[in-house]
Amino acid sequence: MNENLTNVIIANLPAAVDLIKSAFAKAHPDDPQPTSEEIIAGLHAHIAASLAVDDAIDAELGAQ
Amino acid sequence: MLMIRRLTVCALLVSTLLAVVGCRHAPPNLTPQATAAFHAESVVKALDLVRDIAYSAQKNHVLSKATTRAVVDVHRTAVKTIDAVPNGWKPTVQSALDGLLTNKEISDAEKHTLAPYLALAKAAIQEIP
Repeated sequence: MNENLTNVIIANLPAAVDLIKSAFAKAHPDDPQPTSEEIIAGLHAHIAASLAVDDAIDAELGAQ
Repeated sequence: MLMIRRLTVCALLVSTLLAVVGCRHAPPNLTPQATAAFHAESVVKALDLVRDIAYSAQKNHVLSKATTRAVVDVHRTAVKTIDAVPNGWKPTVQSALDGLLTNKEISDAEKHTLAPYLALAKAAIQEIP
């Protein structure tokens, strides 16, 4: 593994830390549980946003 | 010192993805469709991380533009499949990830770079009930 790849990993650490936090987050007993509709809608929104990022990266690579 | 830093970063990355899948349990109040969506969310996050790492790698001249485009295309295919086939996306997504490692347009060195991250994403998929 070279120095550049290490820099890549380090650059993505904030996203990785967020994933760890969400994985270990413990809901307070009084916190409302997400509804099924919210879970499904959240996935669709996430997918739409992620596909938009794909398009943005494609556009940027095409412009280089 | 540099080796310790690299090992620490790798360990953090591995534990991140394993923690994402291994520690999350679907709330008991969800419908079967919502439970599938709950687990799919974890996989989409793992796929996003692979895509983002490839993009960062291209910016740092570790991956070529062509290889980065290939990773983005696989990510797009995988995510669209998860959206379209909520209960049957696993084989297609696993096959798409495998395809990157058999892609003749990607150099062996780049495959060597991508392999650990693809393996982590596939491990995340395997953990989904």
